Amino acid sequence: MKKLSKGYKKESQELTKETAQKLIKIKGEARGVTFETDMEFILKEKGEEGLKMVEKEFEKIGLPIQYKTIKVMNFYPVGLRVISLLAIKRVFNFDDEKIEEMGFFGTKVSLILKLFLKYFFSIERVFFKETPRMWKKHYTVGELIPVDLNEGEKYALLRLENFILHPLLCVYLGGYFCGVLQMLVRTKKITYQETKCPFRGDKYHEFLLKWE
Amino acid sequence: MGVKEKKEEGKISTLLDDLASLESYTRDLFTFLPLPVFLLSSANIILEANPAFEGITGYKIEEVIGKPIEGVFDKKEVESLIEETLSKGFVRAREVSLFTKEKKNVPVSVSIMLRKGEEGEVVGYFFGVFDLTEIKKKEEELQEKMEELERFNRLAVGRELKMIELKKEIEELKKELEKYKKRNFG
Repeated sequence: MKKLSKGYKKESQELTKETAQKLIKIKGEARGVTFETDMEFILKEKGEEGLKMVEKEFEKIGLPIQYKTIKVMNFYPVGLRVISLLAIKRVFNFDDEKIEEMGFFGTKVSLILKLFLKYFFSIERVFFKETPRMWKKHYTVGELIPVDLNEGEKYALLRLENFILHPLLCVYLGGYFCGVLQMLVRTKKITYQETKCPFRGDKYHEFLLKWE
Repeated sequence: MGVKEKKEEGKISTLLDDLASLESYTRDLFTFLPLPVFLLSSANIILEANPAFEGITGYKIEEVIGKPIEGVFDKKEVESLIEETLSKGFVRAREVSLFTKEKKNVPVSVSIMLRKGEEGEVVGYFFGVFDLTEIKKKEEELQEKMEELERFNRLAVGRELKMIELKKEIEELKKELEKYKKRNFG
């Protein structure tokens, strides 16, 4: 998996009380599963000690969240999704590649994705019918729209509308989409490019996924 | 918020709690299970696996999920088993080879069950894998012991036959001696 596009409009990667307060006020909710997959990644990479370090970061910004108390199926403020990523990035100094890896890993352990595995017999079915439903199961805001799928040319195009949270989440989602695609096509290499992004002045996000 | 809305919210909250409990139960069971199990899509891609499967293959969960089946099993062997599963709905305890990340060949026994969707379409297969390495090792040890016993038996029986032969010879010599004595000494 490789991200091909760079050059986002500079967005604060700092996690302060003020940033957290702003983020937490964003309208919409995310399912607990999105935090659970973050937790699983931290545990795999850094162990229990790593998890405590991130939770201490939450305390610093006045949000004493403990990953293990988050319920997978419950709904939480969508801004918290970004706060979790920012805290993890800051504590472990993760670069974009590692954040993509987190997204990719998330697809392998996500309970909500498991609910869709029964449709993984057809890439067309998953792409056109299930992709928007998958999104709705994760977030109460934004729409994930399947635009184009070309199995012969080996690419897929996804559009994400009305979801402007933070560029770090774009990176995470790029990895996540690659992870889902990897479970549908027989390939060793998948790449993505965020061809459009509101943080670069576009109206919506657009992800071009390619495989070999 | 009205009474009706409060009641609805209470029901949703109960459902979410129940879901969380079920999820935790399923995950704990799946994680604990010492038997390697995995789910294969009808496109022959591994979609889910438990820690025991990670253990036997040497692949991490993120490496094995999304992997085509021929990366772990022999393609022809699995294709034939899948064909049988499609016609019977299941396959029990078939011996095949599993290839680990370190390219080691592990003898295993697999059982497979067909997974169908809501409309009866084939959506994948559940695999249960049993490691036969220890059993094979014990089998080999047993075989060696048996061969050793056979060798010993052959040796012992041979010796026994030799003894009988010798006894016969002694008896014949005794008889010859008697005859000789009678002839010469009277």
